[in-house]
Amino acid sequence: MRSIRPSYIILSITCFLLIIISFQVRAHHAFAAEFDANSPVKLSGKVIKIEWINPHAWIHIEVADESGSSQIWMIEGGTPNTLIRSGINKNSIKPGTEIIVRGFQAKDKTCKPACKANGRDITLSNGEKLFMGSSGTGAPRDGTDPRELKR
Amino acid sequence: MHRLLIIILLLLSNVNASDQTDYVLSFDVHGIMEHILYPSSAIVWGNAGYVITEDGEQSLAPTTEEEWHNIEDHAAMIMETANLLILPGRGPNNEEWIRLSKKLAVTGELAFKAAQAKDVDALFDAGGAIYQSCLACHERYIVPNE
Repeated sequence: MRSIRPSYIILSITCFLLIIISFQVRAHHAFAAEFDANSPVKLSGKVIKIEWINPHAWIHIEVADESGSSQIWMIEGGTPNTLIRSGINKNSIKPGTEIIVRGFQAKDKTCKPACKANGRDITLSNGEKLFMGSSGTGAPRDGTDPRELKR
Repeated sequence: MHRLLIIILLLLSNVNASDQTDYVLSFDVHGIMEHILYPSSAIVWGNAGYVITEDGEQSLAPTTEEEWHNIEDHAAMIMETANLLILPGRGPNNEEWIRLSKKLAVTGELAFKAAQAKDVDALFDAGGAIYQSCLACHERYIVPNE
């Protein structure tokens, strides 16, 4: 019986790995691709714009700092239909009102034209606290996502 | 030995010899996402929803026949992308892969019908359904840190 040459084994393994790699799909929006799990933020500011769009809603807030200047932050939320299930609709967050958002800043921290963050939970002006993030995107399991308990 | 090696490779790649001659696979799955599925989805997503400021609410919905027709075209591409994904030699083509691909076709059809009917709310909901379809597949097949 002839033995299998090592080069054939290496070739087979290489082909197998290439095939596996070709199956893997790059997300246009995995959490880790854009946001930094080691940069948690807690932002308090005035809502200036809401983009109620798919695949993610965005809340723009103006955050004042101690020097008196302000910075615009774009907070990415979940997809609108998941936000609705969390109790947030397009009229829940009123422009001009103050909110508090906890989340994770983008890996790109240049803040041009605005700082970006992935929102986890939001505290509305009436004190109500709601999950505003996305499930299943690889965001840190920080206990804010009610869906985590079922997964 | 050579024959054995070829058989092993074909089994691993889930492709048979006739499949390779029947189709020209110009892109891998990533290429399909980047050049077809994501651009078409972005058209559906970008033409439904609202921008809300202190000045009021602005709808992003199409306002002309041409704009609606453009969405129909891209929704049709989403529907047919499902077939591209299950062409032999492109993806794992197991039961789950095929099920998720067909789910994508269904959500694309929702957008197509919404555009035909010029139904703004249905188009918005279809956009959400398309994303959920994407997410379901990414949760199963995605590379975690990409």
